[in-house]
Amino acid sequence: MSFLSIHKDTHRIGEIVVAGPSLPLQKRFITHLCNEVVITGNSTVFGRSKITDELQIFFYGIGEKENYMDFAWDLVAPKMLGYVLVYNWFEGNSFASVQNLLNMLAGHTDCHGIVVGDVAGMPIHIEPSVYESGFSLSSKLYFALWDSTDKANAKSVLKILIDSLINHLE
Amino acid sequence: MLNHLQDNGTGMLPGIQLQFLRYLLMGQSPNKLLDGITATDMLHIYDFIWEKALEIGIRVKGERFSQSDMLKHLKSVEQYKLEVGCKEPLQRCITNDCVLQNEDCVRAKLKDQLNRLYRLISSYLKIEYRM
Repeated sequence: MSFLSIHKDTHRIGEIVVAGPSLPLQKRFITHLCNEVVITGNSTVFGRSKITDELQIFFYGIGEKENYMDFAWDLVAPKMLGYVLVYNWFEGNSFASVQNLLNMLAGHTDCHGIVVGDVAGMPIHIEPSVYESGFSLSSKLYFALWDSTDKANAKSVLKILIDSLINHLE
Repeated sequence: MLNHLQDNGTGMLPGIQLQFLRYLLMGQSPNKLLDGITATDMLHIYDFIWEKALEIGIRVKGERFSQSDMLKHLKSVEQYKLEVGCKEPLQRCITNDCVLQNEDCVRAKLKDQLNRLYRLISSYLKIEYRM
């Protein structure tokens, strides 16, 4: 998974897989977090977020249903930092797809993950303070709402995932 | 899907948890989701939703939040036993010990409590509750 120019042996890299029923949402999420984004011709998107010269996070948007259901989760999961599943909070079909993927992942990985419902452009009458810190589904799995028109929001989502990882430091 | 809850450490598939949480945040009654669920699975769901309801209560009300205020909106075990005419010891009902012997009774109790919790959270969130 080295699509971006980097030498793994001289840097520390954390890899996060982004999936969900909408590639544009995956792209938006990754774009909000990365200073370098590459969109390939086969419906995938890659992003690099540089924390320091030595420490970087790679995001892999693996495309829509036909891609993420066939994805080699069993091979990739042990090596990745975690996963993010993005979907439109208001769409029932979109939710059902994420629900199926989430249940499938529960049987394949023990990774840290976060499910993110995008509320952009639609009225939601819940105070952000209620949902901005996310909800735990288990010790490694979280749910959060995300306004994809707000760049800062994506960082909040990433922070929840990173906090989950830190909580499991040995 | 709802008929195949599996124990993944929390007692439920995460997709099921997420569905119940979604309904909670949308002010939607969980009745539709509860159809066909066993009493044992409903116990896991109730524990999960109770935890989320506490989180939401704390986030909405801050220092003014009180768990006892929340409990006041639920039906007490004593009241429930009285209504169904149950002669079993009170403790059995508190700990849901009859879940295998009298599944329908436990299901009915939890369904009612879940609806009360969902309705309460709707009022906390100031959103309309829909049956």
